[in-house]
Amino acid sequence: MAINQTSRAADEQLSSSQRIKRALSHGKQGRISKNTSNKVMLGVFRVAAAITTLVLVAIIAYVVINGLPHISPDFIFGWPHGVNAEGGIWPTIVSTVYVTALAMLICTPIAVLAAVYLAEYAKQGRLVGIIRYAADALASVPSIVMGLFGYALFVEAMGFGLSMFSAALALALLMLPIIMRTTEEAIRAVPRYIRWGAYGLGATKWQVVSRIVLPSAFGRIATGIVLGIGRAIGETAVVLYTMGQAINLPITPMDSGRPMTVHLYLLANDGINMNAAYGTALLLMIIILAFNLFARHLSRKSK
Amino acid sequence: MRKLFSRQLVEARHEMFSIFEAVDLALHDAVRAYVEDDKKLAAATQEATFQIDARCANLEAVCYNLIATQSPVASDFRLLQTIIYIDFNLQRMCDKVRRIARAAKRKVKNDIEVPVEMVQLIDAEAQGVFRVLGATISALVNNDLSIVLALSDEDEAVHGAYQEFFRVFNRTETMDVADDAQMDDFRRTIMVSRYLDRIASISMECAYRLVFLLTGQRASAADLAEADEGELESMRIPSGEGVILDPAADARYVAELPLEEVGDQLAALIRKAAETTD
Amino acid sequence: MTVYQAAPTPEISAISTANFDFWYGDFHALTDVNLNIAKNKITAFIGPSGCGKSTFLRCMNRMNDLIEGTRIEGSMTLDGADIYAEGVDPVDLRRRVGMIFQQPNPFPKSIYENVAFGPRLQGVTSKSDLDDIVEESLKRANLWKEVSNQLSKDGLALSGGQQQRLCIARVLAVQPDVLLMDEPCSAIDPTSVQKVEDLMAELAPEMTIIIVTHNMQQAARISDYTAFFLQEVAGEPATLIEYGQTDALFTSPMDKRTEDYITGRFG
Repeated sequence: MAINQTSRAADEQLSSSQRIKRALSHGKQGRISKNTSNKVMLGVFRVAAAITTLVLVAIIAYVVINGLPHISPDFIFGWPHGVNAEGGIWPTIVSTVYVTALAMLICTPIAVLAAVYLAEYAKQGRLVGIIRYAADALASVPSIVMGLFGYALFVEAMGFGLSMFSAALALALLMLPIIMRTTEEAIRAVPRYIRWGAYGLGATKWQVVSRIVLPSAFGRIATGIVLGIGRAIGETAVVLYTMGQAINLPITPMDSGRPMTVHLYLLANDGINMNAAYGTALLLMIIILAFNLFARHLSRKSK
Repeated sequence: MRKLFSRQLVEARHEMFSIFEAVDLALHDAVRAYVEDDKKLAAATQEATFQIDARCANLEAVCYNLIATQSPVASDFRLLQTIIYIDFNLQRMCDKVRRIARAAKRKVKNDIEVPVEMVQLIDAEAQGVFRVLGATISALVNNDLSIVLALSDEDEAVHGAYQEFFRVFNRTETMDVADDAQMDDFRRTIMVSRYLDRIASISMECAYRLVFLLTGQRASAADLAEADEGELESMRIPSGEGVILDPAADARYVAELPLEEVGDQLAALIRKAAETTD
Repeated sequence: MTVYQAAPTPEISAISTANFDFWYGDFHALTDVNLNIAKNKITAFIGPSGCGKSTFLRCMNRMNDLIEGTRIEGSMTLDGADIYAEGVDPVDLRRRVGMIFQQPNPFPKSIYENVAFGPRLQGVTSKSDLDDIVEESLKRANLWKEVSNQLSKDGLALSGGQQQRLCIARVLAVQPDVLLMDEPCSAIDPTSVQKVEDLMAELAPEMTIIIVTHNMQQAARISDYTAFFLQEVAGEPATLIEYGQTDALFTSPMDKRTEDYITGRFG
């Protein structure tokens, strides 16, 4: 007790900065040294990062190893024969590209215009909030549900039948929220200073949007579109219900067809020709990867 | 930044007062040496004026440096302009003091006989000059515009004494002058009266600067002759009161002045300052 | 008594306000501003952050109209005509009253297209006319020498100071009568600041320039008139405290609040 008192008396003589210095240099030591815990946590983080990368590498390696030997010009450009399990997959590639392009043509104008309205024209408030929330919810609808809906609405009710057009409409529904939200973000990312500059020169709202905002946001909007396309190409459930499965080289939008994903599903599901399934999978992955790289390129260029 | 700058401004202001005090005291010594034929005091005073010159040069450098580095505006800027102006005029006054000291030396050395009546006249004129200097310092310390307006009467008295001196000199019978050199010495000796007159007018010019410091208006002597106190007071603008204008602190730097020569207000401040330091 | 200060209000005014008040929604931002801006002179607005000087500046080309819920009271006239009168198109007004912002904001287009943007909006399509306008504007903005051989380069590739002069050239291209500058030098380097200041001095004889600045020395250096705004009590509207010739305001401010602000003794 007496010792305590003397030390407290000594405390009072010290200036506050001296007391702070003393407190800092006499801080309590942890049970494990700071260095050890630092190293342990660094190891944990590295392992987590390694697992993530390994999974990706493993999938790609597995598909490449199994699929690569099967890929040949005949496989890519040939027609299937037998029970559609042998030979090439050319019609399915065409169907996939056809339906995706069609979906993009339908979806992009609507999504971009809606985004411009939301970001630039609509009075920011409850209604816009609800629309935005609805778009996000639409993006998270399971694709099988979207497929069923597409089947009920486009194939049955509207009578488009199992066709490229029905599938493209259903895929457009799937892509719509993705493109709309990325476009809206892209428009909002255009600095207000740049808009003000245009307004300051006597531009009307439409002139500002069409000549400054959209061109400035183009790179990011294009990135959004490409990502949407990537999503649509890899989609199985939606097209399964709306395009049919017939091996067919589509010419008109009302033609039916079989996209790569469905082809892959059927090959793998029945286990008829696993080699062809891996080849198809590899091609699909390459196409999607190409689109992703293209999206990266666009977003880099726009910076 | 601002804290440091405020301190530097206040220090410059104090130095200005301190130099003013030194000039005033040196003038007292020079006049005494002249009247009492004290050659030693004259030499010491002359030496003191060189030190004052050095201090003036230093203060000037400090002020220009502050202008260059702090980009002063408003009252800060007016204060620096005022200090530089007064500092320059203190150098002129100091030069006149030195001439008086030299005259005192020469008077003793060459054994020049100046009629007693004339020496008394010079002494009387000097008393008037001391009052002008005292009033100037009081006005500057107390930021008192009324003293500035009253100053011209004080100066009138000095000027009257100066004219009287030369009237008397003209009436005095021509002294025996051996040669031109002796005539030169004599002329320089009686020019003391002229120097005193100049010191009083320069001091007045310093005091007039107070009007600029406190109102931002540049007023000439003619302007002030027409102005009345109420009008002048109404023109006051914020001038850094409580930050750089602090009469109580300024008074410490002029504490050695003869209290009867400064205004009552300043005398009170000096006494108070003396009490608190004791 | 000789007074060496000129009258605080200029004889010919470009923009005048009377009892001008401004609200952002419920927030009363400015109150009772009475000000005559001298024609073809440089006027500086100074004051602490949040004192409404930028807001007031944006009222002059109705830029605040872009923000929902703003409203004004009182009058603001440009060359005698009320700019808030019914039937006045803010789009036309903004062409006459150009604006430069704190952040240089060239469009992500070529230097040429940046300058040609305004004239194109006015319907100038002839290539030779546009060429002339671009060259003339860049010359007036003292940028021509630096960019004349790279007009197709992206405006964003220029240095910050050059970007700001490009923005000035862009505004000059539509021949405004008034140039509003909202802290134009706060985001660029000192050498560029000098160039922009020189440019302002060159433009002033034929253009009314109003600059908002936080840099007291800049206001003292370049402006003919200075207005000091202050929000005295948080939550209360800000107002104009003192307005006069710059020399007079910076040597002998009449108001204690101005004195305290410009000498840095504020607060």
